[in-house]
Amino acid sequence: MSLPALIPGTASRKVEHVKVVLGTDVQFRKKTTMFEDVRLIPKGGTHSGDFAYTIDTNTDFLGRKIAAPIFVSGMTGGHDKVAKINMDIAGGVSEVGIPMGVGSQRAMMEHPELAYTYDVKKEHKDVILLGNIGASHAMVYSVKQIKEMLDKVDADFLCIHTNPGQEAAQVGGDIKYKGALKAISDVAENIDRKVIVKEVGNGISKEVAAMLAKTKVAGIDTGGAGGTNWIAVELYRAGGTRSMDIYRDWGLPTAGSLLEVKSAFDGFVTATGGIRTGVDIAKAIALGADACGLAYPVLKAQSRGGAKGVADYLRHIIMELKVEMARLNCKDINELRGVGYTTHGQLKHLLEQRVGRSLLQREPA
Amino acid sequence: MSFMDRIDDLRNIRFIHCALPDLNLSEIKTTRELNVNGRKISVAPIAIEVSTEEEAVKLDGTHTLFYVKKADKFGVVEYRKMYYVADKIEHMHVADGLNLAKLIRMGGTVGIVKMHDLVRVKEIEEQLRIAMFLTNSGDLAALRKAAVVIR
Repeated sequence: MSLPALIPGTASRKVEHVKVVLGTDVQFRKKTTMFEDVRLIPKGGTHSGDFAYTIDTNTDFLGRKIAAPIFVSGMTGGHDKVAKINMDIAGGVSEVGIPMGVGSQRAMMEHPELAYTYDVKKEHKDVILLGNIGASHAMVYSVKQIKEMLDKVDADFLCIHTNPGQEAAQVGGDIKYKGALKAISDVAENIDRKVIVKEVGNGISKEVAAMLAKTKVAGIDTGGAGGTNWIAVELYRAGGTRSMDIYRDWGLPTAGSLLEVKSAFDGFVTATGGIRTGVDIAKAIALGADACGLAYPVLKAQSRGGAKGVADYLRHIIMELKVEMARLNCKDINELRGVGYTTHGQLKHLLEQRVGRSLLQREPA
Repeated sequence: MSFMDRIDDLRNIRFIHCALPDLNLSEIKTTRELNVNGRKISVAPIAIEVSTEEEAVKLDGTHTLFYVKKADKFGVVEYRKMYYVADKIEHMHVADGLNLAKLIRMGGTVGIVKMHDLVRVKEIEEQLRIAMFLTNSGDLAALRKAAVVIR
């Protein structure tokens, strides 16, 4: 498909984002996910040597059965050069049986001809797809327009991302958030899909979770600090503005955000932000996450090996999860959810000040 | 316990990010009111350190707060005359707007910058505005109550 020679603004930014994330060190430097401060306590009992191969990682994702408690977090879309990324990810998740998200669909709202860059279901009909729009754009577009956007790509759920940190660092960033919560609430109340609110790397606090708990939002994705740093991405794009440099390590780490959200919100919760291993996933599930979102490592896998690379990577991390579950003597995800844990170091310190002692540790079920 | 005793090191104070501030960045109020010469004036909570009144008078600048080191007082220059602030000012030297935000959160009134950082005052004010935005603080009174973790 041919495109106009230049699509300034939104679409070209998408290409730059992918280039910067893959080509530059824009991960958090001083801040980690804090999962290293979590210790899981194995359940009692012994199992046969092939136990890891009998472990069942199937679980529920907002009413849909999926093969493992992971999904690929929405990353990109909106330009011809990134269309293959989404299609390859769809090929990989389709093989493995987990959901995927697409990046912000604002580009196709502005340029309907770009819808194909998000429309992975035209080749992979069985994919569970999470659509995506920004909180600041939910204030601009009507529920009808957002529904049509989701219908065009047959999205199963809607993610509304909130990224005030990234917007503040972005040259020409949209820094109007007054009324965003009400707009999210209106969409969740009136749209025909379940809505997940997600951060993109600075974390969701208990205060924000409590506000969302009063709405019809079905899920919260922590989008915590510890992985790709979108403030750093925008600083790099801007040529490094001194003003925002001091905010490079801003944000609530993923493990901390997960427990803060769990303390204030009873709905579906996913942990995204710096999840890199099966052990991270096991810890997040034990702490209360329903699933974990992966982004950067999947993008790397796609850039190196296309759809096969994505599928291989996902199978690898699921096997890592199974090995950790075997170590913990957990035969399925329900048992993993009941595993005991203790918290230490900075995470423990954060929890003591923010959510009290009740979530610091748990005895095995 | 004095103000300075309450703040061991600003690096030990970490703000908690607010993912859904109910604010537009441009509408955040970063100024505070101080009593000067029998009336209230509105100034940014940043003071430029000078050695003497005369130095401040030379720089002038409408509604710029000065810290006169020799007098250990804060004041503003109007019509080439220094007028000192009547209020008690809890203060510290700050390196940037995030430090300034932390100082205000912990009860401080004004951050002081050295003369060689004069050109950075606007930048520091912008950095303060960003901290306020990301903590859902529409004004300095709200910033005083922003969620923090203290190490």
